[in-house]
Amino acid sequence: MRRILLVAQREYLQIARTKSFWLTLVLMPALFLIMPLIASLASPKDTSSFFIADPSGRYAAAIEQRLAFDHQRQILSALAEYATRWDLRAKAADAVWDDGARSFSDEEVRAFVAGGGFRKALQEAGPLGPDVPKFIPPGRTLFAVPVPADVPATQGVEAFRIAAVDHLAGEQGDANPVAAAIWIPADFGPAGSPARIWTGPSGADEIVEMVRRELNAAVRADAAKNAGLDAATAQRVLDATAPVTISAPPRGQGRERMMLQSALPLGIAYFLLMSIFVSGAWLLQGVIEERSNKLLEAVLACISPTELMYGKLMGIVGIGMTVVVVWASCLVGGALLAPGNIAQLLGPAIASIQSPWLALALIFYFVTGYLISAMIFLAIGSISDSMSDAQAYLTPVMMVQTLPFIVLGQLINNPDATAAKIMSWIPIYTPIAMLARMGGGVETYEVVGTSILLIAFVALELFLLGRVFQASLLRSGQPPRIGQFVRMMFARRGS
Amino acid sequence: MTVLAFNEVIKTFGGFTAVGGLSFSVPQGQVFGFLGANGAGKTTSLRMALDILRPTSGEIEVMGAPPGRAAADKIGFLPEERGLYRGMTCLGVVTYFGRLKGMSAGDAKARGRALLDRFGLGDWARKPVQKLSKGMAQKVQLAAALVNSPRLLILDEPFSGLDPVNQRMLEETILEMARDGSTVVFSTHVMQHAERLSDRLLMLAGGKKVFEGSQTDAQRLLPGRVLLTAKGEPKGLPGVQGFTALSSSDGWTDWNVTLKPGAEPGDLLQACIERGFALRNFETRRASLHDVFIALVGAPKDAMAA
Repeated sequence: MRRILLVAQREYLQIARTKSFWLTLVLMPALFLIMPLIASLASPKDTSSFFIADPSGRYAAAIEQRLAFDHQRQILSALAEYATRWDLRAKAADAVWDDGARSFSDEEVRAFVAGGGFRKALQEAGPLGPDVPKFIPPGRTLFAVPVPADVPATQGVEAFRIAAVDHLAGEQGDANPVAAAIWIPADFGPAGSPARIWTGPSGADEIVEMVRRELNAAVRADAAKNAGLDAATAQRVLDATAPVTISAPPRGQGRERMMLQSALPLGIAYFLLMSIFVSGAWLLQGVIEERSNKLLEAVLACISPTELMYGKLMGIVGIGMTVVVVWASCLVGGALLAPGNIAQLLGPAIASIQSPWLALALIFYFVTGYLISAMIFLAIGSISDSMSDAQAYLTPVMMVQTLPFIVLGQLINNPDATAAKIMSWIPIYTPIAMLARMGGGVETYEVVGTSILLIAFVALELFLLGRVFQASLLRSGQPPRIGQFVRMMFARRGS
Repeated sequence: MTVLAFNEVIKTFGGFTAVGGLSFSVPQGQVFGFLGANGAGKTTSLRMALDILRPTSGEIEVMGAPPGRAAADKIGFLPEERGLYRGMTCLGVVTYFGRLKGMSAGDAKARGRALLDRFGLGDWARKPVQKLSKGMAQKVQLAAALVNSPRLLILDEPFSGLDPVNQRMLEETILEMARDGSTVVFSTHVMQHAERLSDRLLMLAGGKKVFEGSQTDAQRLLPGRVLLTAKGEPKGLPGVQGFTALSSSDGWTDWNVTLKPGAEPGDLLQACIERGFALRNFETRRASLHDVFIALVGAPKDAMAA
């Protein structure tokens, strides 16, 4: 055991002294830090604006009112989501914001605004708990701006078009360019001229949709009036929506709960993949160095191949655990120091792991998953004379190994699907498949059964790796073919 | 006490017999030369002694026990193919091997430092191996083999790749180890090293022993020769198997005389004196190890490298 620990210590220190180790250790937390920044830079612009010429004088004001109204709808949706997340309750029975985030009708939005909007709603909900962050209403995203001075709004549609198109093109490169120009003719209507919209190069889908919706409403209101309906009846007709009752699991249950419970296992699965890729390369380099530097014979005179193998495994497992602990500590520390979306997810995700057995299972699947991959890397290293030799084996092996990550989404969404269950019983896929499925809840027999199978597989892999290690370490010449590799596994010791 | 013993050891790889029925023993304190051409089975035999390979049949004893890592603490080994951990310091490598051989960290470090100082590498102890020249690296490898003050030192082709200065240093180290009571087993196909160092020799050919004994024993395997300058022809003298004239001058002839097996040059000289055979010069010529090796093994190309 002393010799195994010596080898493990040397492996660990050799890797820990490399620049690549420290770079890896720092790089991942740095990515965690800058990812939100990159995401915000990559996300579309928050606001969009347009100008509108309305010779008819009937529609521009209505469109602007619609903008304000839709903004209130966004606030109501955000408030409903916030209320669900932090378990806020309205005192009034007819309040619409405490019934979960959903699509709100115009009538509901009008009631919300008439009831005092989000400020009044929050007052009704009472004082917030100490852990509940303040509600920040979403900002308005669409704005109507005055028609620019270089665009004539009273000289006919053609003059407007030429100037507006030039203006939109000239806006490119500005921080917040105007996205669309709208012309609503004096004789706009089904029997008259069409409204015209010119968009800038960056597109203006949201504006087009909003204008079309508002003009449709106006045209339909005119049609209702022409049909003899009074204004109130016409409005009721326009606001009418089909009554649909949607039954969903209670708050914090169902898919929401599943996603929350999946967060930690999934995080562990991703850490597993990353740490395997990173530390596997180090492990390969270590074994190949001993082969290519012709060190092995001197080492094997002092220590048996099996001891050498165990030592290397222990060393690399130590490195992998160090990497994961540092990454996880940075993630948790960062979340605690800078509360945000990750912190809001992390706390409940950890809290959702209520059973110590579940926590144990997560650790078990991580460690066995790591061991299985480390042993595969070790076997490849023991039969390779160079990294290019190793690459020839590594590519197909990694393709096979990463299969569960390709279907991870399906595993999470359909944890009880036949494919997911089958994958859970294939030992090299068991750790990832089970980690991915655990959020959705798996049967106890599956956890126990796959764990037993996994332990047996690790033991078998260890035994076969020992044979390969023994047979291949002093081998020279071309890397073995598959047949030779299999024969190595079953060769007598020392042959 | 026998430190290393092989008894009818056979090692095959598939259908190929690398070592065929090898038996020998090495007493304590001897320098034992393992001679053979490349592929003769020297390295395979040494690997079996170190338990890196297991024999197909036969028995091996190392210090009274079957080969195993338990004896590793008392064995030093310098393989033919040598390497070092390039990222480690010189002292780190030597200390690591010392600790693998059961030494405490403190002892291994102290002994490692002493060896590096002795080999002129004291100033390089803290420097990484990758900065060393090849000759320096070879000294570090030797220090790693010697760090545990081994009772049995096994050296596989230790002189290959060494410059003359390092060859001399290694020869001195081997002789010093033997003086201190250690047993040294080394393989080589360079006969001069074997002649200078070996107390006993074992010659291998095709995995089989063709000779085991002292250098004198080996030389006796070939007929002795005498160079003499005489007035007459050495015909009829006792022990003479054959002779050829090399040159003649003023009635004196230089003769190359081949003795019969077992005949001693001293007896021939005595006979010359007793018979009044006029002699001006009498030189004995012993067969060299190289001659014996060629005679026993043949003349493979690599064996002629000496």
